[in-house]
Amino acid sequence: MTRKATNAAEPLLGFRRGLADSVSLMLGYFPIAVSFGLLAAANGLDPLQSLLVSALVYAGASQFALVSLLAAAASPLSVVGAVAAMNLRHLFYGPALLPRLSGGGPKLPRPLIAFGLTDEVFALASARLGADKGDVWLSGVQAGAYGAWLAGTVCGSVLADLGGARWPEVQAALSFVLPSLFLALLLPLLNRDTVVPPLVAAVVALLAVQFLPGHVALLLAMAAGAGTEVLKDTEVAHG
Amino acid sequence: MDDGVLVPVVLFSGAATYLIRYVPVALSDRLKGRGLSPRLQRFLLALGPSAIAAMLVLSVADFLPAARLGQSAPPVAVALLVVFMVYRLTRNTAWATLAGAICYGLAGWIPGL
Repeated sequence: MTRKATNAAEPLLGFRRGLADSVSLMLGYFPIAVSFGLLAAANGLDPLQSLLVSALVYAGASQFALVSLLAAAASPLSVVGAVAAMNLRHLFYGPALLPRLSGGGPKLPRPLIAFGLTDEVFALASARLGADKGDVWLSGVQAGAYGAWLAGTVCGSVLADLGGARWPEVQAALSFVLPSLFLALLLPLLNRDTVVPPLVAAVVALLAVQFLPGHVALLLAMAAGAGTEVLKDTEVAHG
Repeated sequence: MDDGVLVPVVLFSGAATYLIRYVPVALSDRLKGRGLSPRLQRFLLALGPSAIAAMLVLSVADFLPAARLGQSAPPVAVALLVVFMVYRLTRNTAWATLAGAICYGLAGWIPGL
């Protein structure tokens, strides 16, 4: 029996595989969520309020902005606008992933799949999606990431009460999880045929972040990197 | 923080974020049968690796402030090298991620790094 057929016959197996594949994401999410919990506590949010932000907004960098802006007495409308603007890059994630989800296994409701389309879930799914992975696998990945995000937020809030800023080495290690994760995700995607878009995106990100906010630089770099494939197509067509 | 301010902001921010993720998904599902142009397909396929590369650069840049580049670059370089080596040895994303983070944390203890 092929893996695809196994996945179609046993949705639970697909979910478990997704959950197992999300371990690296959990490692990445947990410490950042802990940092968020710490920041939220420092800005006057109680643990339940921090959890509410993580559960409903579920978008790392913009959560930090939301809490910081509210603490600085920014107008509610401007806070919502800032959060939305920061998350505009997510517009691309669904259309980029959906065509690559295999037909094997049950199809899950799209509103459910859409909720968990964060940067890192998109990155992991882009790197790992194959013919044997479908909606159920993606939901396993998303469940792992979301669980780690909520758990980390609660831990951060609790740590704040216990004076958690006292271990700088641990904080340093935790803070470097995301760069490590991104590099580990990128390595298997690189070969002679696929290196140009990420290379262009990296260079554009590096240049753009000197002048623009990070979320704008990210959007620009993604578009520039992927845009090289469109140009390549044009060259092939003209050649 | 006052719930009267926080809760509406969280609700609207959550709804905005969700719609940004969901609306393209719904549109993409509707257009599925009509087929995307080859250019758009290539663009969407290249978006993932491009996003990962950009996120890598942006997340590393946070660790390299221009004023302290000489001091901050060596631990970052060593940690990224460790990620590369561990990934080459194990082909496991989680181990490579963990090794890089631990290496960066420990670098603070090593004189000269």
